[in-house]
Amino acid sequence: MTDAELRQAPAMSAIARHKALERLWGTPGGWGKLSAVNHSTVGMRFIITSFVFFLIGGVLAMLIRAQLAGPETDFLSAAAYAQVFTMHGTVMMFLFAIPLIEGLALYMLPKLLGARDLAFPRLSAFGYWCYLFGGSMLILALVAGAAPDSGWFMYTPLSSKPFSPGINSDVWLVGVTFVEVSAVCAAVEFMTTVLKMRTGGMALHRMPIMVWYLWVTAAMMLFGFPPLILGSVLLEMERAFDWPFFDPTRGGSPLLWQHLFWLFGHPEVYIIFLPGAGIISTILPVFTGRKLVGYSWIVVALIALGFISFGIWAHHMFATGIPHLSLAFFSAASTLVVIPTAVQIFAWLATLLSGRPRITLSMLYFYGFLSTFVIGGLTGVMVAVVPFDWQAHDTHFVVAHLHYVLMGGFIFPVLAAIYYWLPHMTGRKHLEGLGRTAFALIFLGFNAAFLPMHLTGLLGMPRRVYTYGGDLGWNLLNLVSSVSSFVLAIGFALVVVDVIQVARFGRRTRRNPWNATTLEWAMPTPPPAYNIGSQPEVRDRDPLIDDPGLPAALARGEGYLGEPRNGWRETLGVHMLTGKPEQVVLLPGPTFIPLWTALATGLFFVSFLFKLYPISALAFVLVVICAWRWMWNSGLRTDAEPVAIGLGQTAPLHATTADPPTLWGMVFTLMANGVLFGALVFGYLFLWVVAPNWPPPQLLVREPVTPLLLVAAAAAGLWAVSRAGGANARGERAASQTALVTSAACGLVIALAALAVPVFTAPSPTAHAYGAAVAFISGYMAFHGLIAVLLSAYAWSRARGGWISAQRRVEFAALRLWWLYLAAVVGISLTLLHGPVWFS
Amino acid sequence: MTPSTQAFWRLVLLVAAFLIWSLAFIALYGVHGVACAAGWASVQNPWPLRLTLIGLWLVMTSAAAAFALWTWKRPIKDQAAQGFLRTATLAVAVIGAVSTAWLGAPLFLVRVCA
Repeated sequence: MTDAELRQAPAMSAIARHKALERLWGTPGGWGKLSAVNHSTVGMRFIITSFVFFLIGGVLAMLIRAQLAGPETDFLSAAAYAQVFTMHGTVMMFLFAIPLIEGLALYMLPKLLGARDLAFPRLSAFGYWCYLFGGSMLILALVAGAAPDSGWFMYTPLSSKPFSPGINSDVWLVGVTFVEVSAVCAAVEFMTTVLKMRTGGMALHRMPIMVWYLWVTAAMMLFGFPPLILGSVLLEMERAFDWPFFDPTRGGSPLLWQHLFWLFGHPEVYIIFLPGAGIISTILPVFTGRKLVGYSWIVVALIALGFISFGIWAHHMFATGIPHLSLAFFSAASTLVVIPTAVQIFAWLATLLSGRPRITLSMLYFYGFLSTFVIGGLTGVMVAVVPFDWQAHDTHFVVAHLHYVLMGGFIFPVLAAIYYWLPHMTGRKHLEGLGRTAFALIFLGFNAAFLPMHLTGLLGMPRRVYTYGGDLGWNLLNLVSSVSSFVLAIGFALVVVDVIQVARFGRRTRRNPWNATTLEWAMPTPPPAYNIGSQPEVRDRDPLIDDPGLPAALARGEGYLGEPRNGWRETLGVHMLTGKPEQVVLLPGPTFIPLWTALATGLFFVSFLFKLYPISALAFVLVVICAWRWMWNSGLRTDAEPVAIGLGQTAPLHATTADPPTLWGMVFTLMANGVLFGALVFGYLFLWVVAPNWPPPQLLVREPVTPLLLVAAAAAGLWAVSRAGGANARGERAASQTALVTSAACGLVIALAALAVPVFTAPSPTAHAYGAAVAFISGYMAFHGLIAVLLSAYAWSRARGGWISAQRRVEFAALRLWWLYLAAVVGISLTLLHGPVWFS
Repeated sequence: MTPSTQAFWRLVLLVAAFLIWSLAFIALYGVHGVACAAGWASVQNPWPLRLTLIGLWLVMTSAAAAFALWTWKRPIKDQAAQGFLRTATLAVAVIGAVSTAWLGAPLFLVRVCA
């Protein structure tokens, strides 16, 4: 059937299509709401929850400023102040900024891509529950007076057991790690979605610029979060079991924590900034009536930023005694990062200059962003220069700098985004008056609060000190900062009032009130659960300019997948580069399994926090059961032929293809895992080279049996998995299943042999950091061997249950990837652990 | 290799120049740190290490420059997405090479192991 024929003869009316798709993609009512997996619902939950945490963080900021308003104030005790400033930073960074980005991307990414949902809807829901539970743990601890109090970056030795004996630091390590699980899940989801789940024709160069920003951000999250997860786990192991990774008297190093933290912490700044910049690059062309200048150059700049931002972590450590030349490498990279940032700023200025700007509320926030962020960027260049940093380090100058960067680079763009997408999300439009008043209060309040902090910092006022003497010349500046910060808070309160009143009482508006050009505005407003009646074939980066009648045509079903069938939740899977439709991805519907899995994960973390280790073990088993159940219902039980997708084309169902999204999910999960292992290798080598009291008093016992067993099992496991896949392709089911059993047995051998290392051949993990590192690396190997057992057993069960055939074979591909990774881990670990033993 | 796998590696090529930059960064930082900690060099006897680092930096910068040149010489594909990718890959390659070169500037200005 041709395009024209399809357009002339839709099988159902637009209203009937809407009702049918809404039934398919909607979320049940009542308790069923807890089973939601739809990206709009989950994304909105992320957004609202993050703003609740933002308000909590804001109240904590008010407490800080009330305490510092005058000298020698008794409003907060030193201990309470330590909890308040620690939680302010923790809440704003981990419970507000990152989750808001996740929520925004969850909600907006499929809409920008012209898709119906993300690649792994259940993972979105699981991530949300992890975030909610982990964040709630931290807030409950605050209410109970047991909140973390060692600063938001938890430097050791302050956060180590001897100096923080209470549960406070454990709450941070466990709670934040729980929340980070959510971030890594989101990163895997976004990476896969952008690669595979766009609408037809959306080649890379036709992707909206916001998608590039979110894609690079997701990649940075994927590689940035694992080092912090590793650091948190290591520090918790030290605190819980006395494994001295950070204790210099036993071969540990506090600097290792700083390296691991800032390996995450500096990319984190860009993880927060890039989505903000993406918002700016999205709304600026709309309100200037001109296409974004330098699309390709911005893409190139983003790639450069993504990499360089990882090479500057140690510029937070200029005052730690690192050799000067090493500092100079980081300083060089820190100055380099200015260039791609400037490329974006000049592209925005060029767009502004060549267009006709409309002064809307979003544009006011753009101007606020530009001025604030440029100031923050310039002070960033100042602290990137080592001698200046030594003067300003740990003073309020740095507090001012980071708030200019974060407020400028994130909060102002987010406020611009709120007013830009509010008509899309609610179908209602705001009145400018209240919003403009709020903008004035926020802009003036912010600058009056934080500009004087540059001076208080240069006058020597340190960070994180709960009071100061009245004779130091800081009184007036602090008072101005405190009063202004309350003005800022009133501004935010007005925004909240404004958004609530628009959502409830705002006047209804037409579909695309800004005349925007991207696909989210081709959807009804507020958007239905399925997003779009049919998916378009796009031929331009601005599809609504290319075809103004597109929204109506899509609602009539004149695109891809316009005819609901078989109760399937369908969306297109495309070629990564060209956007050519390649497969029909069938997505799961509402289910409670993400909630159960998150509850089991939460039980694991909470029981670990309270040192109830048998319950932790039980919780781990529950997580495995939930995960098994989760995966089991995916896929097809029979082979299937390609199906019609509209516009005269056919495509196979994703479960019958060689590379369904699941496989790419595994690829990105292993990449994140690899970064974590890389950080572990770095930590081991760092301790060996830099930490005091090395080499250790005792090494591993020199014996050939364990390493040979591990190598043999890794090689045999890899061979067995390849054989299982090959036999399956030839239709030899029995041989395939036997090979899977062999693979499981090999995984078990690896797990047991790796566990034997710390038990029989290594020195005690509490005596020296070497023993702790050996035990941890061996445990990592053992854990991955155990997962190989489970994955092999799962594939075996699926094969016996009829879920696998020569056509439906993704389990083999995923298992092979896991084994390749495991074999690499075994090889590297053995080299690290046994190399020094055999060559010493 | 499936079409998707080919496309994935094509995307890796897009960022390859900065993979070289990352390698250069890790190598320079790592070799300097290990050499100083192990006592292979000192403030009094810096030249063996300085020359080693300069050699390493030259190798990495040459690799980045060679990659940029190779990207420039590659045949042009006619598809629009490929055209965009080619332009972007070339731009990233040139910027990656310049960034790698910039990374070595401190080698000529700052004392080793100080």
